[in-house]
Amino acid sequence: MDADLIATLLFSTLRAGIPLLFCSLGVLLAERSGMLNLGQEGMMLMGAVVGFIVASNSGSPGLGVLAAALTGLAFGALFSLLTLKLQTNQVATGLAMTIFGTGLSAFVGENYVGTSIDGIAPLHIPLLSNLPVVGQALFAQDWLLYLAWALALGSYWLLHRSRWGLMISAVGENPAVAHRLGLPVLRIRALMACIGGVMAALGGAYLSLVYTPLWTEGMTAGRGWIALALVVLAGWRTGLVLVAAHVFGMAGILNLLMQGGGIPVSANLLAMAPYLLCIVALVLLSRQRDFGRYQSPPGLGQNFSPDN
Amino acid sequence: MHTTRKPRFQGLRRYLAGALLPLFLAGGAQAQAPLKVAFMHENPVGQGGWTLSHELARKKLEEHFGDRIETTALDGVPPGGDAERVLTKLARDGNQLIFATSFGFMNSAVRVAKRFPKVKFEHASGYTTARNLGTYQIRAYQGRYLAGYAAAMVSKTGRLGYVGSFPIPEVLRGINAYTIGARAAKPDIQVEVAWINSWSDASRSREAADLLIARGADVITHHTETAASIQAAEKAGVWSVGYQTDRSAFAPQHHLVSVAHNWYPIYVRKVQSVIDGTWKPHVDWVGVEEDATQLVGWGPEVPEAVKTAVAGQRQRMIDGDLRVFRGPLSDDQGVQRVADGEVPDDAALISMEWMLGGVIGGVPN
Repeated sequence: MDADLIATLLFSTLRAGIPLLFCSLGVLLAERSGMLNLGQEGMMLMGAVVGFIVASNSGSPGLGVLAAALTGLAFGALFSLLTLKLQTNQVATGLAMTIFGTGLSAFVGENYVGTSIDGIAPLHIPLLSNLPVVGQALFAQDWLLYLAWALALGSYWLLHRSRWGLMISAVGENPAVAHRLGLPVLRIRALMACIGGVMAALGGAYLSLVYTPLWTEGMTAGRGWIALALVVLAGWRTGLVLVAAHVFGMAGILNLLMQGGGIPVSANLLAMAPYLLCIVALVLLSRQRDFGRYQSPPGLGQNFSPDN
Repeated sequence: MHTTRKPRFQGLRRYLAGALLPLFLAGGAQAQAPLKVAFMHENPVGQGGWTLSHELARKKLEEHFGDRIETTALDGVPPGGDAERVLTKLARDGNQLIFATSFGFMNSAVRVAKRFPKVKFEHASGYTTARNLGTYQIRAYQGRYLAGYAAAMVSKTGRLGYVGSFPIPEVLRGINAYTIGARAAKPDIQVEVAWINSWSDASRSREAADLLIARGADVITHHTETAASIQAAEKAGVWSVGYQTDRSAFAPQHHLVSVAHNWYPIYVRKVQSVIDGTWKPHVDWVGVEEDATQLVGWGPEVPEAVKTAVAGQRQRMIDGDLRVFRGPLSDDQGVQRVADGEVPDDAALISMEWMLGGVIGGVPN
């Protein structure tokens, strides 16, 4: 393999993980506070379609990203309203949001099938982007990719290094106790669910504005579900979420690469590889002595009402 | 005396007469209810491509026949139990001609057709007919041959990239025809296929195109619903060949051409024959002679010489002295599939499950 091919592969591998990274960071942040939202796929699709429509009409992909984020915010707020105020079941509400988002995105995007936009152009960081092999991959990507990495760093700081992180974990672990300690449980949960919505929508917008600047129905192709699984796989730890998102992004490209390389491995087997990896990792993790570190937030998916 | 008795349903009858009257008036001399025609698609129209090409033809049908027909289209119907249920419902709803546009609908169409002998069914891209079930298909491989011919003419690296979905006969036939066309223009041309195992996954399609380009391909084509691979080619500054519908909007600069399906001539013929009462269950496979497979959306940078050469090849096809598949042809395992000088019949083309020798990438199992 020549250096050019490796550079191209590295470039596209990193990009491939970004929609998953956005979405799984959102899942992580919300789930740490105990909010289990299975509506990721629907929110990603809504982010993708709204981002595309706004970018296509305004000519500004930046506005598209903003509109996608606001859409995600609205969906996060809706989820909070339903599960926190009206005390609906989180699993059922999340599933409903996936179904709703899938249908609504197809409906509003109907007239945008077959249209194309320029998308967000890559930045070229002077000098660094000319480095051999890694230059293009690390220093000539679009700003949304750098935003995803910055958000990963921010999440790490928030969850593992700040006082806020302790509050969020307290709410996620035992909302009743957190409530008695005087923490605003519902407000924290609502905030985290909204942030989760924004992140999922940004993941969708990355697909429709950067990765493949077009709109087709169901274009997220199950990434919302994979993001939910990634967070479990990563044991609700930010660093591992970052790694897992990129490993999954790489798996798809490796699959294509090995096919073309004439390596006699079944394409179906390769397509299964990341999922098998997931199961193996889960088994290994659950055998670890410090299993507690990898457990889900004990209050995950449980509704809490301060009045009771 | 029953004449003095008020008929029980008089009110209802009057209502019905009132509702039907405008129809008779509108029908004028013909005084005929419109023919109800239904379409059932597997993929959503919103994914572009195959379903969209049928939808475009349906709209033209409506324009052509006006109020003599009434059409319904249902998309996103998965093959299997759902397809059978939807077909049954369409037949019950009084549709007299029903088009099932996906290969996967074949068995459902056969079963439902048996239950509704008065309804005419038409199934796209299959191989089964019955007393009231016809089948129809476009010889897209002819368009593929012509596009391959053009691709080889413009390629500088001598390498063409092909984003494949699933290794079914329809897709393999396209790859083989494209390769044969390319080799006709340039015997030492290389074609590489990358399989993505999906019709519509835009991201995988893009990744595959990027990889093919990185490996040296300078013309990219695809057999997927999504046009993401066309965009990838445009971004990388290489040529692209669109499929199913005109995809030139996705590559305004470097598009070579699109191989578009034009279902309209088939649909007009079928609908007219039902209106005239002359419909028969045919195996209808139409190609360049009816302009059913078209080369459209030539890009601004395509040299005139290429267009002229392709037009010449197309004319030879119409005249019948150019057949895309002519022996000797061997598959990628070295097995001879078509003997020297022979031309395979349509049955052999429909069930083509082999890939031409020399194509890089292989058939996934």
